[in-house]
Amino acid sequence: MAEVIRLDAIVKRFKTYESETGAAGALFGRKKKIKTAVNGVSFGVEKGEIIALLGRNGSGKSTVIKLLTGVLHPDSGKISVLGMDPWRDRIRLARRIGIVFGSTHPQLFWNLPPIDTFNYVRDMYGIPEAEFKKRLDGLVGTLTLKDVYRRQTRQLSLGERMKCEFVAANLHAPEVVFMDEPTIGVDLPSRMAIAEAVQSLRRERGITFLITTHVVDDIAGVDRIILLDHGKLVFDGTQERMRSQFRKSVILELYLKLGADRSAYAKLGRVMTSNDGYMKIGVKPSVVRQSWFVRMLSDRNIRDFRLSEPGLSSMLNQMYHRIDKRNKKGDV
Amino acid sequence: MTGAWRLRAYMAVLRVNMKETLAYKSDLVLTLILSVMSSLIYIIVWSAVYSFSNTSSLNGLTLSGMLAYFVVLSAISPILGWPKVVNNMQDDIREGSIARLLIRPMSYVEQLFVEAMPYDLLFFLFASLPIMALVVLIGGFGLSASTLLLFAAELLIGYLIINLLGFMIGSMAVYLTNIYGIAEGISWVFSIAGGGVVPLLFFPAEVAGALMLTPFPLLFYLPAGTLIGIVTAQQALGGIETGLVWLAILALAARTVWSRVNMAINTVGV
Repeated sequence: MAEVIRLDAIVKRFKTYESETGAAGALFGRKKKIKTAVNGVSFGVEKGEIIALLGRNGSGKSTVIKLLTGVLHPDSGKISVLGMDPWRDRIRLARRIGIVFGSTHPQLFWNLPPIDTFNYVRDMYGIPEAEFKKRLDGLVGTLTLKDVYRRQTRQLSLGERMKCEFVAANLHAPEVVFMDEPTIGVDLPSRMAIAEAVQSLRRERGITFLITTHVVDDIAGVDRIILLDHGKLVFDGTQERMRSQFRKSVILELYLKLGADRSAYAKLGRVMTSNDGYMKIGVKPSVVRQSWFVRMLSDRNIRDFRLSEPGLSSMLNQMYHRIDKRNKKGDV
Repeated sequence: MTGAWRLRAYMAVLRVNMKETLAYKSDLVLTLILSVMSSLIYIIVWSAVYSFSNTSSLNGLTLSGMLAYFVVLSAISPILGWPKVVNNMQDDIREGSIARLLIRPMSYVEQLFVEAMPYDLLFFLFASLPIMALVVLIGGFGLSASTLLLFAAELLIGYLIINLLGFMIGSMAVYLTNIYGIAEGISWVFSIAGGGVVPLLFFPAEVAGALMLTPFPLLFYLPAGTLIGIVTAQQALGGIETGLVWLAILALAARTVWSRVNMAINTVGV
């Protein structure tokens, strides 16, 4: 498959200012600082892939999106989107990409119904009327917006607005769509509708999606996860590959009798939660295979138990812990 | 982008922003009325000055001429006095909403100017034109076709000049983020130097002569003065010539400023 996005050793620094506390500090104590938002990031994306770009707040995700859409220029390194330099060819590239900036920089006109934004997109991108109607009907149907898009934008719920933002970003049939935290604060049905629309557009038109998010549900259907931390790429692979790194432990949840002694169970592995009557422990698979472990589960203090593989959010959290540990040691 | 495509894109921006401007009609009507009401202050002050000085004319200008001057100014200064691009640019940069415009297949600068037009156009059609027509009718100012042509040329050149100046002032937001105070100060300088507070007739001849070489009289004194007959055709033509030179200089300067600002946005981030 053809590569549609390529970043090579991208570095982006920003000037920031820090002030001392107090009025005098604000007046005279301002210090200029250089923040490296993206630090040597390289990755490629193939046509039709759905990529989740993850990371904590301030990890550089949004900066990467802005670099890829030509809003920002890298300090060093090379970027290519659909064979173009996003910053130099920004206007030409804009015709072939779609962008959803989440609720931070909405594209919908606040005082007008979304249909006016859709019509504006039609005229701005020169979409023929028949094609526009076909695309709009398709997207409105998938996202159940029929009774929504003629109401004033400011009267819509966040979920409805985000679905309309998604429509506005896809009307001109872009080849690559960038979505910067599109589901923050959005209700579950709207999140599911957007996720379904992403999958259906990839299936029908082979559109490539790059999505930054903190919502684990958004990651479920993605092909690859790219994890950034402090501007550096720390993981690039499939969910399966991420999971394989965490097969070293399984999650044991114990439902205990109230007042039961928990000290013996605490020795089984890494205690994640411990309350009177409930314990969550990360246990090595080799321990689970021991006959004494199986016998222990029939202990009269244990009312019930559950063994499971760690979920995506649990894996991500453990990854962040690992990164922090390495950072403390000075490896990163 | 081809010419037809560019025109269609301009029209798209203009149409949607016109709709936004018209979204709250009663607020718009009140804004238009209040913008004009500011001339009441000048009417009261100058009526008092004429009354206390016991004279029918000051520097060759009668009280009715002076009042007509300020009513015409109130009709044109919301468009020529201070451009929307300054605040729009500051908000775009400070709040990061510039990203919303940078992802469109049209240059930011073009979108900025076209977005500012609907309000000016509505103000001109529904406030400026009726007020100026009333002043001309009530004041009995005989207007020839050539005077109207000079007046229209002054308005157009003044509009382009103030928007280019506004673009350069707004660009400072990239470095300073908040420029309300500076912008307010600059707007007063423009107003005083352009005859927006006192007609240039009242300045010493050397000062007025020097100010006529700046672009500011085209924003206040020249169009208002041409309409009420205190600016001669020769003075108006001279002002237009000076304005065209300034227009070329400012267009060139704006281009240079934008190339620097565009890179500076990158170092500050949006």
